[in-house]
Amino acid sequence: MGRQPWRLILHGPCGPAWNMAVDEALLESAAAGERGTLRMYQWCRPTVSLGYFQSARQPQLESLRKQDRVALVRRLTGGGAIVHHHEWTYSLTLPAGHPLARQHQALYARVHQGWVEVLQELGIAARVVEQPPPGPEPEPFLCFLRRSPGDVVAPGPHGTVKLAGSAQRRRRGGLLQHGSLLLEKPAWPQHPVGLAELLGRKVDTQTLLQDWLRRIEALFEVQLVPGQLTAEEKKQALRLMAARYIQPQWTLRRNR
Amino acid sequence: MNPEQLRFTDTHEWVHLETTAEGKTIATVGLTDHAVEQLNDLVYIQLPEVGQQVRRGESFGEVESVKAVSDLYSPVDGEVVEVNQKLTEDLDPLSQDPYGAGWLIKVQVNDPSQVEQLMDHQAYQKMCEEGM
Repeated sequence: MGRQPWRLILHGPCGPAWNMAVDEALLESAAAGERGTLRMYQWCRPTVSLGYFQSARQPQLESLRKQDRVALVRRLTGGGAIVHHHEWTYSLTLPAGHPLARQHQALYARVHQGWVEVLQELGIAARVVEQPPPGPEPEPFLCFLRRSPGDVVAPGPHGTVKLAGSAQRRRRGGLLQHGSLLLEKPAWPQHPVGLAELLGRKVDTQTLLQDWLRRIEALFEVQLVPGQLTAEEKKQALRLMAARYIQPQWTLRRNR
Repeated sequence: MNPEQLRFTDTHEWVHLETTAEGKTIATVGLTDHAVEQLNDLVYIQLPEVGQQVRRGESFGEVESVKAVSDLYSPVDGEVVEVNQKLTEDLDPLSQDPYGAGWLIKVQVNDPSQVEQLMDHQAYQKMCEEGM
């Protein structure tokens, strides 16, 4: 028996609304029963993505937006705000029939194990958080200041830092999980440090990516087959971008 | 509610029908204990407004747990006549009593026969055991 094929989509830096719209279009495909897809992407400008239910009313965010130093987008997934600047972002979509589509904690752990192995190879004592102690209330605005089971953390100069985290959206049994590996501290004053600061040097991001993809193939027992969005997915992403992700009513809506 | 007297969707909502003194058919809709257990550690819920129209198989709300957002799907077509607003402040009733104090919405149903097409408790249990 050969390994199950998953589609691998490698996108370069893209716009914030397009990135989120593509991930939702891939979730729609997964909910309709398409095979697993792993998409890797980056961002064409520093962007804050808000968690689905998160409020955009945050002084630091408002100040940086006024100075036009960050773009803003709202995700379809939960969790805290991420400053996408120097990172690898991934999205993984699985159809309802996949066993891990129903085990959200196991899916976080499996994907993050790949990052842990890559980081350990670089000499960083990275590990997956099992059950973090209760954090401050209300939760910090930034995802990388929060701790959830499954997060990837490592010892830093001033305590433990989070290097990777993910969030999920489930729709009609299909699942979207997307997340970030922090390559370098982003342009946000109080943001914790990233991989480059821990190592004292920048890493070759392409080598790191290839290493992670190899580990994902082994951890999930799949074969990643390079592919592209289908014409239908592109059309759906364009529709979602126009109807939702570029709309201030979506991005700035008031939540908790 | 006794789960054995309820009907179930394959997206893990339960529904209970009753007829009011005025002859209206009202469906109480909730999330099953299986779903609540799977979701684990619920942190936020968004429910519709009273008066909103819902359609069978379409999302009427969302719930967040451990950074995972899941849609809630209506088992019937109709109009929302009551919402369990207490849940927007405290999700414990949903975690602890999903078939009672943790109900989500009440819908005035257009076509009660939609409920007959849903799974009974035994079929739903079987679906869960099969890992769906």
